[in-house]
Amino acid sequence: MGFYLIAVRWSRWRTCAKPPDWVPTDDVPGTIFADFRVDDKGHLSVWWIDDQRSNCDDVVTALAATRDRPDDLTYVLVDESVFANLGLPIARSKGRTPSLKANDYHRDVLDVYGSRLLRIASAFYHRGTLQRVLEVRVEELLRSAVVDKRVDLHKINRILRQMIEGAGQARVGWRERLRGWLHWP
Amino acid sequence: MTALSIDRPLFRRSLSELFPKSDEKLHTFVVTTENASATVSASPDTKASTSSVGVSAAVWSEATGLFEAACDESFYDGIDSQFSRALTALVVAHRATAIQVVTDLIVNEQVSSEAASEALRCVGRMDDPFSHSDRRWLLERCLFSPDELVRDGAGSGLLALNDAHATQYIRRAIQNETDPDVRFKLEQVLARLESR
Repeated sequence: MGFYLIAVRWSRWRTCAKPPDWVPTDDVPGTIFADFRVDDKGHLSVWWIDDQRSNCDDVVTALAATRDRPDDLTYVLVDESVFANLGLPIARSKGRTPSLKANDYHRDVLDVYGSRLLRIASAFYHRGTLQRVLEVRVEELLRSAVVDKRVDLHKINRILRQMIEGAGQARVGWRERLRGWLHWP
Repeated sequence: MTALSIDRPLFRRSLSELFPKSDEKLHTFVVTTENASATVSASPDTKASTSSVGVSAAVWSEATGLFEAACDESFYDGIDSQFSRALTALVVAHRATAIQVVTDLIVNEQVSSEAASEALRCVGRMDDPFSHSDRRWLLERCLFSPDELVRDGAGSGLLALNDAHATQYIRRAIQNETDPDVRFKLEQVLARLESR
């Protein structure tokens, strides 16, 4: 059995070890729902991690490569058996990250309606393991993936690509940033 | 209408403890009138500066509006938010003046800790040499905020700012840090800055 992973924001999930007093037992803070983005087909994107967590770095790199810049990447892992006990329908689906390898680990939780989403959120919040990969490590992972050609450079945000490829911590000037935001060529 | 707000005594005391070299009173206050506001602030590692800077009411109003709107926005790590883009645009337009307003809002705890944390990350990433020392002061100061989200944001900002001057404050912050996640982050930031 493996795990399921979702990327979250540390500030919203740091309380999972000791939930705030105002959250009833077995319930979750409403803020964490910002990290569950269900698409218009009712699919929730999750990532499958093997029981040795040997593909975890690949998935973290893939998720980091979809962003605007290197930053901390926090994720929650929940045991696959927890999902099985909830009876959630899960289907394989190709991920859409720049990673050539990690996309195979992508899964969709199907038919995610309100109460089901609450059960999923509760499983991650109460039975999950919170991990944070700091920006320094994320940069290393991204740079290594670029050198080893494990990511499709053309699918990476241009500003992020420049930061990864630049020596050390390359600074990107205002003009470049504005170009990136405005999608100028 | 005239309003005068002076930062908390706690802030002055903590600054004096943290930066004992400074032999003048350290203080930050904001005076806001109907048409304009002025800011007086002190630097943590130099003699206190009492140069008053006229800040247009528009900048103050825009900055507070940005922070208020940020309460309705969900932030995601590594993704530029509407708030961070607007804040960057504000600093591009008004440079040090805008940074001083942001400093007042954050240091005097007039904004949500989540928005403050996001702002500090943004402040560290800005590529504006003219406001560099002001931004560094703000980030170093926020290492000692009572809120762990703000301290975390300051750590991220200092990593992006990439200025070895901050290492002495990061070392002190690590000694004081009570949150293990934030402490680990600051240790990583310190190691990165010292290796450059």
